[in-house]
Amino acid sequence: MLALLTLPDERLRQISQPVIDFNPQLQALLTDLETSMLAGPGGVGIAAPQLGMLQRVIVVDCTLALRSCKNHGRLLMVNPEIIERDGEVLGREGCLSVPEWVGTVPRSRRITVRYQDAQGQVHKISSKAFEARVIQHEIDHLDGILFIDRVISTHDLVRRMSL
Amino acid sequence: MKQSVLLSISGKDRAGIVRDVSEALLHVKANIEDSSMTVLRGRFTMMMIVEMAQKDGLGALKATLSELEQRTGLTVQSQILADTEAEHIPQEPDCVITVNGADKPGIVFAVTDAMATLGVSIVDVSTRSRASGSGYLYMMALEAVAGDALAKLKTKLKKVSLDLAVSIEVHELDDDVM
Repeated sequence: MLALLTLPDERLRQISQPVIDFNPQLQALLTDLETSMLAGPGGVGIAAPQLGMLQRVIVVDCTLALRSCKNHGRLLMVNPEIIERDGEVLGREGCLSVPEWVGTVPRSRRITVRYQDAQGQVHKISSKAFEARVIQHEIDHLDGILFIDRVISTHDLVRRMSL
Repeated sequence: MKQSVLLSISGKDRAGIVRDVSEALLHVKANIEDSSMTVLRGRFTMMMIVEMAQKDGLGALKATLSELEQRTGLTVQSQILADTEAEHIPQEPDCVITVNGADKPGIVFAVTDAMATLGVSIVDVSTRSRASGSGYLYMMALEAVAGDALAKLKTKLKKVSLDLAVSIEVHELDDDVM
């Protein structure tokens, strides 16, 4: 099993490359991601750079969420891209790569994501609420962004309201 | 024996206050554990919990804080914390409540009264009042631990929102690791 990277590992801050070859190595990476996601308690998503693999691959599974929510089951997403978003909701986030920290993060309420599966087939799904939050969190990893970059305080909230 | 002390510090805002305070604390080897600082209008305000390695360091701490007050014009108050208080970790909030609307007396009371009667504890709050057009706009954000009372809290705050003609939103926070 590949080791899960935690802060301050610099690889978590790099931009991952798109996947071009849909080969057995990609299949192996997806399996590694699933294994690592299931190993940690309360894990509902993971991104390849968290295992030190700088490729645009994420796995999301909100059937594992502590509170039940609408979801698409286990999503193995290659080259995921948010093509539409609307609304804003606040939620509490934590991250396997940033242990011991949780914070309030605003995310789009509803998103449309285009991605490829393990065979390279293109799919498009619409996701909302908690699952949409997890997908946004994981796609951020592909761009070297961590949730702590987006945490807001009550102070920030009143500042935003007064704009 | 370690000893934790709560410090409340305020004064006219300027650059360098946190530096001055931390320098004074470093001088008596007081370790800054938790802190919260903000500027309210032109006033610097800060609260912090510092830990002294030994209980007998308290005299030196008091002396350095009084010297700090004299030198900088800041107001510094200190309170000794019991060990049980110093070790208590507050609960993580499970909801965020945002309030905004035309300013009028009683907004904070009405919202927090609805929360208190349900036993909902506030862990963080910020408010701001700003001139807007003909009157003032009031904004408030609260982090709270609602637990099982969340549904009842939403109903109560809906009523407060109608009574005061202000907008109130309750954002439920999930807790999962991604």
